[in-house]
Amino acid sequence: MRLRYLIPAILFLTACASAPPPAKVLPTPIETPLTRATQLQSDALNVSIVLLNAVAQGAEPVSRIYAPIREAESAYLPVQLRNTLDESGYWGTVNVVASADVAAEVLVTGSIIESDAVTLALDLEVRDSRGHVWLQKTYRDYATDYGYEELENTADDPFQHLFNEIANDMAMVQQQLSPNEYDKILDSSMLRYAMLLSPEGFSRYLIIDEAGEVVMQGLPARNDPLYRRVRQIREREYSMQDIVDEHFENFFDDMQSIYPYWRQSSYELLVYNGQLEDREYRGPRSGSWAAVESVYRTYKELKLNEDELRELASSFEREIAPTVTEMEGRVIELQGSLTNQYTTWRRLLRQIYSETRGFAPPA
Amino acid sequence: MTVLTNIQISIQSSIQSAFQRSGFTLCCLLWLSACGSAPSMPTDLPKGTAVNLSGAWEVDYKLTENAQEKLLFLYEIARSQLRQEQRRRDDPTVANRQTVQRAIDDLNGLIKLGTLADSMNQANVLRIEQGDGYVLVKRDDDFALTCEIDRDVPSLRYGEEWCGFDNNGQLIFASRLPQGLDIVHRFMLSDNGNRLSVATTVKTPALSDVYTINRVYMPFEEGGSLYNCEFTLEKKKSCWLGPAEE
Repeated sequence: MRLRYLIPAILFLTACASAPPPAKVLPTPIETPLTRATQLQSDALNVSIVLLNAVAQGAEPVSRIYAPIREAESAYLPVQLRNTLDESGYWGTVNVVASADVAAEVLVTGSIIESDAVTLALDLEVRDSRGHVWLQKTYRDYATDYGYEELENTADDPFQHLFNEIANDMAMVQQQLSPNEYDKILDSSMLRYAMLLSPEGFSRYLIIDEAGEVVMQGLPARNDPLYRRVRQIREREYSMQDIVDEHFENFFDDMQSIYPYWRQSSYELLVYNGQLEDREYRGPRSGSWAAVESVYRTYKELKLNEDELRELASSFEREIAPTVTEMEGRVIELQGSLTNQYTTWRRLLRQIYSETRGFAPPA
Repeated sequence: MTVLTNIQISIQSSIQSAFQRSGFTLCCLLWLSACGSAPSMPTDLPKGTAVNLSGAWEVDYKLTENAQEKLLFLYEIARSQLRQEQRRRDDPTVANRQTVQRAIDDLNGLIKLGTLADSMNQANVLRIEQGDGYVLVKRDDDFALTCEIDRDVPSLRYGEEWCGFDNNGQLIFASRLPQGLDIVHRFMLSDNGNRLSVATTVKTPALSDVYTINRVYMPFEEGGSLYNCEFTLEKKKSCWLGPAEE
């Protein structure tokens, strides 16, 4: 008789003790494979990805403690996107640039909305040189245990699906372009570049409306010597862009030795804490001393990684070596931050262009 | 009253008498932080006036607690009290066995806590950068403690973390980590500014006790050392013998 009550009671108790804590409810990440070009794109458009804004406009500023890490992410994530676009095979040269370039054939700009190892959210805008907006969207992805497990075996990023989604969206817009639109993007890009060098010489060929869209009024003759000169100077511009891009690539490689591990420790603690909150809600904590020690070990590892990231981010700008390059038979040394170097470079190009025309460079 | 509570009282009285003999203000501060009421998690820190702690500090071994000796001391006291307990109740009853077992468990717990607290407060050199509502405490061979005094937003991405100056001008870093692990670092500057005490308190529901370990630091001139390090992207952390590079 007693057994009739005792056995269900024991079963009930053991079921309670061994029930796994409910997992923190996170949206299930959608697996997005990267769409790859099936044939070589010989005349594909070039893409410039501007460093992301560390904080979205109007958003609360990032804690000063994490600001250097967010700064580092603002340079790290564009390189991640560049690698993904390169891998897709749909694009020509994909460069990470220090500041927005209106003459870029395709320009990617954006801000980091959220980045905490579990969630990555980016606000992105992609537009072409005509000023047409291709995409204006918030991309969001959630990491899973699986994403971090993969990290141990491959160089895959736990948020790779987010970058794949961006690349796929961009490829889709590109594939819908008519040959006429494609040509207009190339022409607008070159004319906008020419306008940067000489507004008075080329502004009559295009009008930029209030929405930033380009209305082409005509094109210089193919054999126009000034236009040819602009093309030559632009070739030099590309080499400078490659140098800047290389700096970001090196920084990305340096971050590879720390950042993925910092993100993994951060992820473990965030998820663990979520599970713990759920468990606490259901009853008392069942922590053992080993669990406490493990928590502290992970916490310490996370903090040490944070220190190293902080140091890395602050070293980046401090240590940008002067770029020594040759242009038109002159040796040029550019100093300061990458943005400063690029601004100086642009000024020198304008100067060279103006000298060949025999008048003072535009202010 | 548990055996451990008796131990803590014994320690309090012995340390108190030692400090009374030395008559040193800072020792009193240490005693207060070591054996006073265990600091609970300061969830609502009073916003006291910031005290300037910036500079380079190196450990003052004369005034710093030796963690091993402290634990040994606690162990000896606990053992003698256990013996007394056993003598007093020299009977093999279940109740007595349970009391003894509990006391042994308490002692084991204290040693574990002490070892963990010691590992959290081991830096021999502190470099404190402070200014404009911000304090960064760089500790050699350990992670840096960072505090944004003027911001209410918790800086930790998980768990909870508080920091700031209290009304006594003490800089406090408090963290509540998963598993209920509470860590409080308390930085106290002596009246003449010549010594800096760092008391680290650890508390966890896994063990019934709280443990505090103290280290005392004295200022030193940076650059006087023959051993210098720097972090660069190319070489990462590199150290050399000789003067600091400009």
